[in-house]
Amino acid sequence: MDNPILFTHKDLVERSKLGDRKKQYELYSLYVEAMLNVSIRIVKIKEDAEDVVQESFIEAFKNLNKFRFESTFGSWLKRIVINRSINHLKLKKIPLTIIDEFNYNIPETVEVKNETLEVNKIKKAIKKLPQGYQTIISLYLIEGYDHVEIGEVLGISVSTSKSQYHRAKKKLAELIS
Amino acid sequence: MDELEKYIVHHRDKFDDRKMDESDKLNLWSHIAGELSEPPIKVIPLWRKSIFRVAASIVILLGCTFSFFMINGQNLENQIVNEELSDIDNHYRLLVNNQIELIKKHSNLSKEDQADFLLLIDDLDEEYQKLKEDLKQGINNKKIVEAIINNYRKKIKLMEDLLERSYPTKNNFEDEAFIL
Repeated sequence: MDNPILFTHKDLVERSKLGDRKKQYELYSLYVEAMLNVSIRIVKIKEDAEDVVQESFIEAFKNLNKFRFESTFGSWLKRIVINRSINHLKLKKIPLTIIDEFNYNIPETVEVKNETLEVNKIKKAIKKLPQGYQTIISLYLIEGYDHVEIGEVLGISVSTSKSQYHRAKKKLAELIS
Repeated sequence: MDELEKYIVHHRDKFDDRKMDESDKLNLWSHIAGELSEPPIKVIPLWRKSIFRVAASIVILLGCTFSFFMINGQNLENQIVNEELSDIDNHYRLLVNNQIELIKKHSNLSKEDQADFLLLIDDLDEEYQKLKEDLKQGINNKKIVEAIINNYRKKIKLMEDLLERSYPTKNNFEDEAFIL
């Protein structure tokens, strides 16, 4: 375990493991805003995302002794937030994937010119996508998950993750161009 | 990766819309902290220092001895308790005084701290002498013995505080960025 980045905030994490409330707050304070944004991209509603983040931090601090620096603390925490956000969607019976029949009549490839790209335009376009497509776009492109990880989180196969992503991306490209 | 994918990946951080100020963070934290178990009481390993072992022994032994004598019959109290108490008290008074001498010679302590400490010890000694006089009169011995124990406790607390100040705990928070 030679990668120093894995040990980011090691002291804060270790002190938090010992129950040092001040250090726990410092650790929380460093990550809470990023985690709220991760959750809100999935659950969409701010109040729901706050609940998810709250529960995620409680779970993280209660299980901190299980964290062994095999990943960064941030990615470990983010996985908890994403899992809880996905569970939140499941509880609300929101479909995580778009069924095959719900197919858009779009060309196989959609050209998007670089000069037409702009963050706010992309955000607006993402919001117009069905929830399942929004989730997979967020997980793959913004959170940086690969299809194996997405498969695990959503409970789908790697191939389903790939096909869902490609459909989602094509639809997004169509909305932007 | 096509242009769209590259663009989004390159601008990932700009997709974070929600900002939280300190009050938002504190508000959410109050719900989280309420669900976490109380942190364990911080234990300072003072017992590695012989002075605290002796100090604790004094409190425990005095407490046990005095309690034992107080439980026994009141008739024998004035005769036996006063003799036994006197012996025990002399013994532990010597031990506490030895520790005070050690503190006086402690190289890690500032002169200012030592002077403050000795002033307070002098006050407690005065109180102690008065209690000893009261004890001789045999009026309400139970209360007086309790007061003597309390007097020893105060001295020990002073020693603890003084030595704790001479070994301050590190408590620095470095402002760090998060890494996902």
